[in-house]
Amino acid sequence: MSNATAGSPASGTTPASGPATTGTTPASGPATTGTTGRTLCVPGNEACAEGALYAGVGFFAGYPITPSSEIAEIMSRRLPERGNRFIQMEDEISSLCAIVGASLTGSKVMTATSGPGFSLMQEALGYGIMAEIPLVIVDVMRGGPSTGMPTQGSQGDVNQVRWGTHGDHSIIALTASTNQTLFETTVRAFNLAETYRTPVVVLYDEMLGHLRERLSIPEPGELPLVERLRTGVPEGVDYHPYLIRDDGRLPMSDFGGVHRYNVTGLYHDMWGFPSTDPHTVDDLAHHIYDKIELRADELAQAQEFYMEDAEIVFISYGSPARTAHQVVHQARMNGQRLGLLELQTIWPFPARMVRDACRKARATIVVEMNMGQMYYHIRNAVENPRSVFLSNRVDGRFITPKDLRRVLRIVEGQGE
Amino acid sequence: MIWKIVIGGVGGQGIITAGIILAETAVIQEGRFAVQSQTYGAAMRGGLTRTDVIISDEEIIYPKVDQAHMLACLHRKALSAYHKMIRPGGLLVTDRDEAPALKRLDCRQYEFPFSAALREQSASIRNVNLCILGAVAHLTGVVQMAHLEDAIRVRYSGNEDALAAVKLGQELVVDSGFRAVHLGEDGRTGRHATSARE
Repeated sequence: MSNATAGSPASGTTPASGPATTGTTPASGPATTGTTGRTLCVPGNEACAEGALYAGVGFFAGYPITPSSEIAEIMSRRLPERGNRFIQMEDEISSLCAIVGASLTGSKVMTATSGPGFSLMQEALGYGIMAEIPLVIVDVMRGGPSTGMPTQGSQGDVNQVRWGTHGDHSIIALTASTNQTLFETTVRAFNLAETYRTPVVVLYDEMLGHLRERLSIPEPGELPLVERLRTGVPEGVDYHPYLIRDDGRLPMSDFGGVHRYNVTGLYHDMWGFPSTDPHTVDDLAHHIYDKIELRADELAQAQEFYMEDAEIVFISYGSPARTAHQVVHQARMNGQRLGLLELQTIWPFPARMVRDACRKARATIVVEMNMGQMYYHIRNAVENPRSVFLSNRVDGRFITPKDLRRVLRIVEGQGE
Repeated sequence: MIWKIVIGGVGGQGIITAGIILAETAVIQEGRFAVQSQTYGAAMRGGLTRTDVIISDEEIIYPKVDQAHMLACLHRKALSAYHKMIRPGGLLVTDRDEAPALKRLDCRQYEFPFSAALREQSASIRNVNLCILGAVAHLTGVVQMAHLEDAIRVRYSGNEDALAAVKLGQELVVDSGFRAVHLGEDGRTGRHATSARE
């Protein structure tokens, strides 16, 4: 079985270059979780929470919502135990605002929600993007729109993550299909948030959130952690919070500490004060977009299964990828040349990776639990869009191997 | 070797807890792989409930049970709802009084008086989930009895009743004279595949 990971789990956690980039430090001291090195049997939501604790989350504000509530529940117990803070807010709007503030003071921060709560977070999400605040937001997807179907899974928020907040911007969104990869993905989300000073969304579905399975917590230091890049400017010397270094990074100064500076959602100059100067605006608009979009290849991460000689390629992400993996695995025993590309980075869209994966394939089948939110992006990325098909379910049920085999037969011209 | 087990009953019987304990036993006590999922939704005491557990020596890719090697049922409502999930020739374990077996089903049926035996011992009927778990483990060998008991000790520290309920389930199987079932390499538990496991 081929199980090639394109890029190590830590790929993209450090910028391409730059003299004084933040090193990776092992988890130590208060950042350890008390569960490191242990094997657990826990639901996906707990794996996500454990990943955040491993990464050193120091503040969590949230409002419980099915199917993400377990994350807040765990944080409410574990953070105070470590001397950190948990606040249950009055709603999701304030939850995201609270973690924006806490992040500025120097903490690694997180909130967790589901579609309806994520809708309420869109305004502050835009603020986090504009003010370049490291945030980790977990969206455990349930059926939508509106309150939809709280207890059933879906992948309907894929494009909301990308374009839910207004204005030109970019965002990083990661996903996973097993508890182990979800743990690693959550750690990676914190690393990317700190590296790029941006909100990072961890996006997965109810199925994984409530699926209990094995999770081995790595020892401290086993996974690299990126810590906050802080300014070396001493007290009494001018600190420019938004003066971009030549490596694209902006060292931070803990808010309320030795430097006084302004933070705003308006277009701003290097001091953080509002500006409508066309050059300033143009530079900032490109900066917040390019710092992510121009690194799409570097940020792209996926798992490949049997892709070397695949004639038909499945592309999937999140828990439906497990169904596709099962079908591919069984088909190989029968000599059918199927392969699977399981995306783990969904935004920025890994266009080159998708194009390369589909180049030699006769057909590509996109497997997802929505009306084709990733399908259309994949069609745009490949050389022959007419060879791309969609296999989906939107009824809240898990996609079964039978569902995929049926689509496979149709694609092969064998009828149902 | 992969075992796909469904446990069904009604809300309040501890069905999901039983599934969690089974998965924990395999993962934590035995270092193997397991996935456990459950019906999730606006459930209530007395409503249908079910948990799916897959246990394997290898990593489990597809986490749902399509055809179950075994269905364990603690309520007739659950039996009539889930009996179609048993693969042909699979196993059915039920509570004699709460879920009498359906003779027409193509499977090997085992009825045990779990709830009656608990009542007889003036033990809490709330432990009926652990009782059936003891029977499932002994009958299939999907996890070792000693490991299941260890998992129960961890979860119910110091609760002797919980441990006693598991052992009662095991004893009911032993007393019945049924031999443990061996799961063939092909995953079949066919009628002629009986061979003592231990």
